[in-house]
Amino acid sequence: MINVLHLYYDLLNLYGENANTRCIERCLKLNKIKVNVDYKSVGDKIDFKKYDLIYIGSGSEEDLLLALNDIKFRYDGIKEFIDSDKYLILTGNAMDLFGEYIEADEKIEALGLFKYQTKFISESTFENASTDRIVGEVRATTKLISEEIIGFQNRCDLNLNVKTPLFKTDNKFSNDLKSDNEGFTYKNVYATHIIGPILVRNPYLTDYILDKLCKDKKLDYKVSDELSIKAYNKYLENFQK
Amino acid sequence: MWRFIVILTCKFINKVSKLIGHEGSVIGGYYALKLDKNILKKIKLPKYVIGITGSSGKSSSTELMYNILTKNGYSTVYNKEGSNTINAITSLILNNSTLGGKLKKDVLLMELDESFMKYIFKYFKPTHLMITNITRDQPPRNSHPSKIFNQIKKAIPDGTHLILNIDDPFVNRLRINHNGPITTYGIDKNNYSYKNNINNLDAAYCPICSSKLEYDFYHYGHIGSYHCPKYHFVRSTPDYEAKKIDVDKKLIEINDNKVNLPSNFLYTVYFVTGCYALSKAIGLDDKEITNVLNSDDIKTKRLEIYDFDNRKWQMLVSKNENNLSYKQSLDYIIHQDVEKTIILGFDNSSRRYTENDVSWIWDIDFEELNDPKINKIILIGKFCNDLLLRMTYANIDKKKIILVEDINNLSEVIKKETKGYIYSMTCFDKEIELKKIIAGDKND
Repeated sequence: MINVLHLYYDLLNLYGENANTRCIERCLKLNKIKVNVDYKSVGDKIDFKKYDLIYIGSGSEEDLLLALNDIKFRYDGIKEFIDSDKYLILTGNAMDLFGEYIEADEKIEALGLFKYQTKFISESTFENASTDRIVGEVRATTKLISEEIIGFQNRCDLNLNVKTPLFKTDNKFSNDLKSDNEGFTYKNVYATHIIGPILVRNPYLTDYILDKLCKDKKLDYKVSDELSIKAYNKYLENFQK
Repeated sequence: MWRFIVILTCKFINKVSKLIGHEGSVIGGYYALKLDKNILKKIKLPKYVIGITGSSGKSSSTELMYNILTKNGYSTVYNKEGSNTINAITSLILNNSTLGGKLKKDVLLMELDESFMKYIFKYFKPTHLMITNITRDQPPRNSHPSKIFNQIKKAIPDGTHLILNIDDPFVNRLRINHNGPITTYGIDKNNYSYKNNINNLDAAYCPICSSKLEYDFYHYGHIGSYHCPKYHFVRSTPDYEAKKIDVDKKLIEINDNKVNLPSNFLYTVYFVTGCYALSKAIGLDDKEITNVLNSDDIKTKRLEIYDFDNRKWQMLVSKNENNLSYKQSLDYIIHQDVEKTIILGFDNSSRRYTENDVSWIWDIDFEELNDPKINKIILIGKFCNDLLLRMTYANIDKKKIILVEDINNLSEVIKKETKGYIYSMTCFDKEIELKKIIAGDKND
């Protein structure tokens, strides 16, 4: 039995992110592994020891700060969860919660579990005032698997001083827009700025993570989602640039 | 004198532009603003300056409002093609002004883009502003509803009379600290409303105490009847509320007045009720409004229905990247009491930009396609495999889904493998291809 938590499901769920926990559920079921998904949010009682995997998605800047106010009270539970090699998947701006601070209009202290900092960008960051966000189709590579990662970004946060990125990508989609580093990884934490149904769209990445998790739990994970692989291949075929 | 020259230039350029075959609604304004960026401040505007904005429903609302006003004797100018950039609005105003700088109508009516509104209100203040809804809409362009809300909030001037759809908690938030009159509208529970625990809600928390809002029912998405558990923020009874709603029979009552709807889509209840509230706000009486709404010559929505294979085929436009508009079209199809085959698909997420974000298909409740009246679901377009995945996650019976990757096979597949009324909901480019298939069938 694998226990999954979709944290802030009603707050940080801006771009179809509910797809990711559904994908975990489906892939495990295809492998005949029992799975339970809980949905929790601000103010809910959470026993972190119960879970094997936690997922958090992206939200508006306002909702991210609402989640930050809540997650600060859960520091100990989350630290222990990460330290005991459990799985944390973060998409979009969720990774901002775990750095040292978020610099918006003012500097707001974040969880401080990881040593990077977040800065929100605004219209003044770019010369062309109509683009005040980083938006577009992303291709990335990772050491974890040989296949390319596909996805989409729509964000206004920069992460500075990330030493252990998850992906390598074009610098216009990187953490700080300067290097080619994207996202963050540490133990079994997988964080990326890619939004939306990243696990559905990247079956090879999903298989990598779930296979690793199943090995930890002494469970067999062998079957891939063929439909998902076909959609992945078709996307590359149709939109190869 | 300078004002005279600027207005003349604008009119002249637009005339020439039209003569040589262009639309002519933007370019004159562009040059007028080049000559004098404050020209709009120097125009004497009419007594009523009305703006209509929101994520969806603004074109239908503006058009209906134009009808109500003109049929009650108010001479009105409005941006008919929905051109709502600052250049287009400048053209609209200057083209209809005297060379002395007076807009010679009773009403200036404008459909406004949520994001561009602030550039227009820098120059003049609307007397009335109606806001239809704030929802997920073209995220690559608009990022998210909370940002749209902030843009609208910042653009609203003091003193403007707001007409607000308070079924939408985002729109209702605009009341907070607004310095000016407010009229509200909304719609009562009806057979499209539901009670459900859905996951992808926006504006789910109270803007005052951050408690989670509780809903009595939803119309769609976050639109419905809600209240903060501590009652800091509630969907109170609106000033104008549609009741006794019968979408199929196209009948509603607004404050005890019987009103006909122009079509049998739920969203028409919203724009009709919104226009009712706006008309009252500018001083029309119930009879003046209902006379227009209930007259035979009010334009009803033209449904695109064709004949194919001795069956009927209705085409709906796929509102990509606006999950709630898309869902309302799906609701409409499912609500029709006939056996049916549905065609869905798109080649690109947007017509406006090249980036393809497919996240939005996960914000749509395709689960409702588990309906016994549906014979087959045909998936077409470059993203048909992504749609197939989405259908699989929605637990739709595999035997009901047909993937048609080559559009040349579609006609044959429909004829041989499907039954019932055909509903297609596709992007614009695909719609052109479907129309060719229908035309081809007639020629056989």
